Amino acid sequence: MIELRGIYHVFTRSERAVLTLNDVSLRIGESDFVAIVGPSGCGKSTLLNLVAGLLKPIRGEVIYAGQPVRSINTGVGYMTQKDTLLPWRTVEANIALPLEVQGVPRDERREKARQMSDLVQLRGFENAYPHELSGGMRKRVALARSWVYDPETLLMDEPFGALDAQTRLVLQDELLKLWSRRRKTVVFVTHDLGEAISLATRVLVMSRRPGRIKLERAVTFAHPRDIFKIRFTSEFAQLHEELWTNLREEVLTGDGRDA
Amino acid sequence: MAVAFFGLWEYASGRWMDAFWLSSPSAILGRAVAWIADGSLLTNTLITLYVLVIGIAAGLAPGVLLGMALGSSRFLNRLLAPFFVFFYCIPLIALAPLLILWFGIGLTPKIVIVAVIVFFLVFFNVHAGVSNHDQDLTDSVRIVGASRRQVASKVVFPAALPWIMAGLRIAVPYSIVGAVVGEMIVSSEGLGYVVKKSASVLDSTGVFTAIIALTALSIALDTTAQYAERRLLRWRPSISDGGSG
Repeated sequence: MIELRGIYHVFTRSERAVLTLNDVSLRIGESDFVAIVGPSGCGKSTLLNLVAGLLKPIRGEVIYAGQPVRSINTGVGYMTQKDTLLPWRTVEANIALPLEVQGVPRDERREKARQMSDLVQLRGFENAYPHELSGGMRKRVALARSWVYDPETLLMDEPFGALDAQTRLVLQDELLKLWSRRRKTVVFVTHDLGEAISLATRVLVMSRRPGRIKLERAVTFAHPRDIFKIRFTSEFAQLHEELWTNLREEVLTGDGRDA
Repeated sequence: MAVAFFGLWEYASGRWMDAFWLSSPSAILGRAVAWIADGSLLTNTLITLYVLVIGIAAGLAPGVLLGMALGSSRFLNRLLAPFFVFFYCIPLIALAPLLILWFGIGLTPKIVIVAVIVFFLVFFNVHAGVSNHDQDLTDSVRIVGASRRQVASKVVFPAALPWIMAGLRIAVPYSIVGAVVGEMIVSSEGLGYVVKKSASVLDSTGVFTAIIALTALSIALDTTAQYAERRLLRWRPSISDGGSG
């Protein structure tokens, strides 16, 4: 259970303070799959960083599993937008890192890391170093690393953004299967509204900066979903239309203000 | 190039300039053979090598540890960095006579000189590298539950390794200067001593022979450091492109 209570966050950039989050309150229940969409720069990533305990709000509180988040939150697995693979570790050693930190025996680490690298289709690249991989492959390594140790909550910041369309669908499908099996709480930031609707049980639309939650809709399609077909249903189209109308305003005016 | 150089030297010696001052490659070769035969070249080289290896090892470890500590803690850095800068500004070679006063005329003062030189060069390199490290990498490891020690061993140290190796490679030639100066001041053995002793009896062939042995030692140490660097930093694109990957 994640709860944000009256969050204000200020980002300081070259001596200038910018209000990034403006009174954001939000509850995410256990096993929820929440997707957050919004124009770029609206504070979506900031929101995840607050839940991860990497940033602190200037006002308000983040509650995770009943406890206020004061320092880094080790209950969450975080897949950041920028990949943070360790360049001196091979693919397999990168994936196994969380297990290593937790003191899992070597054989079990190898076994799990291999399974994960198969799952994200990195077979044959286990011994490659990150600089030898394409951007999409690096993303998949990061994805595998955030899943491998089974954290109770997954924070994902545009995880599939840099991937080609096919890989993206395959990984979305894997994510949904994984979520159905283990029922983790997932907070998923994306700029792709279609992706948000096909995956999530709830979609939040954020306003342009300073970000707040503008609109919230439950996505009621039953699970397990067929990610390859769900886009062609009329319910999908309706929901997409409604959310897009709202998002569009923010994107358009957002651009105007930034210029 | 090398052939032309030694050829010219051989030719000039005794024709354009007095061989007494200039010596000649053939004389040096002869001397080297004689010193190898009586074992003194090997003994003196090994003594200097011993001073270098022990001194480098003794300077490397604290250089790395303190460089990492000050580089990753703002508090320690503000407290201690000015002292290190101050000590670094002392011309270290000028401390050699003092170290000999403190540690006697054995190998210890030379080892200390080498250690101090290596320490500072490695320390400042590691310090610079660690201060500019990528916070995102550290965060990504902390969030999966890594302790401070795990962060140090799994992120900070491997990230500092290129800087350690760079510091070490800069330090090798300087450490040889330190060892030789130490041996020239007070000593009864080592290649620096051979240089000084030969010079004091106006034996230019002996001086050149010892200098060539020192150069060979320097090249050998640098090659070793280079090899270690290549092995340890296989993951870096610029280096593994060399074909070791």
